[in-house]
Amino acid sequence: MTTAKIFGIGRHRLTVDGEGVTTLVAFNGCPLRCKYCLNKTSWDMDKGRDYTPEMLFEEVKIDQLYFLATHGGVTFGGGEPLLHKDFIKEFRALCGPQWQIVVETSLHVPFETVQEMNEILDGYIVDIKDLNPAIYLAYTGKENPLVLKNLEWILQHGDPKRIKVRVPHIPEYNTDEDVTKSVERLKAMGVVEVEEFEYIIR
Amino acid sequence: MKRGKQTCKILKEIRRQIAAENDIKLVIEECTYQGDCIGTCPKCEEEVRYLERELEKRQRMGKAAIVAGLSVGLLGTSQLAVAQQPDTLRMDTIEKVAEDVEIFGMVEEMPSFPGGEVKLVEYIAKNLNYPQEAIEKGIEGRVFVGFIIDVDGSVTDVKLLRGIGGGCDEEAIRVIKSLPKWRPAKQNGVFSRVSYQIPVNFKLDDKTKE
Repeated sequence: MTTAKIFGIGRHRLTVDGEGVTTLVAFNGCPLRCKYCLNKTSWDMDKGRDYTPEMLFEEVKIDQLYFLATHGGVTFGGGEPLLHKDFIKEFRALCGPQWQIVVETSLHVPFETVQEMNEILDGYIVDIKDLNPAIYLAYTGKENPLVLKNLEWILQHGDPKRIKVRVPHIPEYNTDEDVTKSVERLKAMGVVEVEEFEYIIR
Repeated sequence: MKRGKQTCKILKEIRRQIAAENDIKLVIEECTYQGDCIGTCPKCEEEVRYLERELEKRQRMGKAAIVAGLSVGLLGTSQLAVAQQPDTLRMDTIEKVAEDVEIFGMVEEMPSFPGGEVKLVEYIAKNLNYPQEAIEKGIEGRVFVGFIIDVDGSVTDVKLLRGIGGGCDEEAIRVIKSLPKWRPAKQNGVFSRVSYQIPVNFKLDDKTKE
């Protein structure tokens, strides 16, 4: 039986992460260690609660009418949701094709995972950090060629409009110029939905 | 909590559209509650359940339930969406990040049972009766019960998530409904409403089995 630790479920998010009314489900577990991570709770594998896909489905289906009426659904975040591919696949089997399933991901996951999951996902919100490998490494503690390979692959295997790439201004790590360079490169790769944003330091 | 009120308004409009499109009689009263709002409340939730029941009835009678995509335009261009922009949908990205913080703040401090988990387990064990039918049929297992711990710590919206039958499901729900008030969850220092799930174990001892 597939289980996963989930540390947050936020209902009735309106167009914030995906189309329509969505429920955000936040998984524990992340391969990155970003300095300004919003949800450091996700690093702690003991803090969430254990869910099976069935339990989660039972809990979130109370908003099914809203999902259907607005083309909304469930957005999986975290943490890194693609670390829980089996869970999401089983969840898709339960909820059927009408709910929109979107992942908020860094794409820092095995290439095979992306290939396997692309079919069942309706959208991606990618936090790309910075395309400069040195900045990415400094900020996340990991290298980024895998991320770019994954992004290129999903761009080529489906409608690019389903992929929103967020490019953050990261205090002390990148400059406005770095962000501009990242955005230009993403557009050259074929990304059509790019969004710049500021991190808030707490 | 202005944002909650705006969310409530939009969800209410979606319910109104579903009802109108399917000829379901739904009297929507203006909410007069002035306190913190998370965008929904037991009354709003009951309206959704009512719509579900009415749609099911229609389907049983061979009528189509019209829901898919009905309110798609609502969140993008309507007055309602514009009205909520200053609070939640401003494209100013700082607001967007701030919102993430708030949502996850829901679990910054989880609700807790008076005396902690040990006391919770003790309470359930003490009050749970093994249903006669389950004893006779040798039914054992875990009943999953979901509920909401409200802003005042009270346990509401108790429902069965997965049952095992033999009267165990009803018994688990009865005991969970009888729980005393919890210490509620906190969101950025404000008490908030969260959902919770508990597995209730039913296990026959060897003597009973014989």
